[in-house]
Amino acid sequence: MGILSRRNSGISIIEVVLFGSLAAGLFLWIAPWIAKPTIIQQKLLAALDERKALRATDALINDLKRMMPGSLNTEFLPHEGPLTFLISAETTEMGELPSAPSGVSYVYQLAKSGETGALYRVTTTTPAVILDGLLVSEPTSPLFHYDPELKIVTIDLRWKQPERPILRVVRRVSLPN
Amino acid sequence: MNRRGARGFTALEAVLAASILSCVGLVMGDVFTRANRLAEYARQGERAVALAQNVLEQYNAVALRQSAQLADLDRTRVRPREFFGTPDDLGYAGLSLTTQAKPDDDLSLTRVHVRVSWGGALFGSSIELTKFYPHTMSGHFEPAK
Repeated sequence: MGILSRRNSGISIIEVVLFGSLAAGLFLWIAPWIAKPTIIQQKLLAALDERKALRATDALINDLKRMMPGSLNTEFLPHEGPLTFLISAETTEMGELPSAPSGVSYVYQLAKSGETGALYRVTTTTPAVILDGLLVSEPTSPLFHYDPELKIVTIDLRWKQPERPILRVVRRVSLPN
Repeated sequence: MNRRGARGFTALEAVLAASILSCVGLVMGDVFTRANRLAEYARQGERAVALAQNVLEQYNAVALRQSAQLADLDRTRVRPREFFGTPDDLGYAGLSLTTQAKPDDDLSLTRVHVRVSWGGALFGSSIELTKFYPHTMSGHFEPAK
């Protein structure tokens, strides 16, 4: 009978407030845990992007390490490139004479959209895309920068992918004498 | 069964159900926390290795030019901008550097040790890279015997 009379009177304001507070508290406690898998996924994607960008620039780093001394014009190095130099040839067979050094160029080309572009490695063969979706080089944020004091080339890439934050990858290479 | 349904749950059953739910929640929370920490380690680890390689390039430049002693580049827990002398952290914000060049006279080599760390003291992590340079390149001269 007591229960019936309670049902007839409905829910009191205190019960509503109490339930609302409990539900809000529970939601606030649970919300970060619900978002956790998404945050973890974003972090893993960021790690993969980081790795992809670093591996992509490895070709440029390796070429700069193999650079023939003095073959890069450091006096005039535009911030957007191209970066052109000679690399020593590799020999695979013992006793085989190395072939003549070959030229290599790293060229940034703007896409039709005009917002981003791609970095290409150009040799005598077909140009190969190093990384696509790179932001345009500015004098304040140069793609290539040369430090004449330490003879270090800095490669500064800003990589933009759809629905991802802009990823900045900076690599520095000490040039041979 | 009908009678039991009408009676509702006993206090023991409610406590048991709550305990099981709490245990599941705790296990899930622990799994998420560990996964989050591993994902963070994967992301920061990639950045840290790249930063350490950039630091070693700085040592290479000094060793090749002999413009200074390698030990002059020693730093303790500094930001990348402080080490490289740049206006920003070169995209490596949140990482700190500790570098040390230590001569090993027995081997006539200088051992350069780079440690990149991130996170707080409690949940922080770090990676370490070591490279050896001949004394002739490091600006370190062997003492006269």
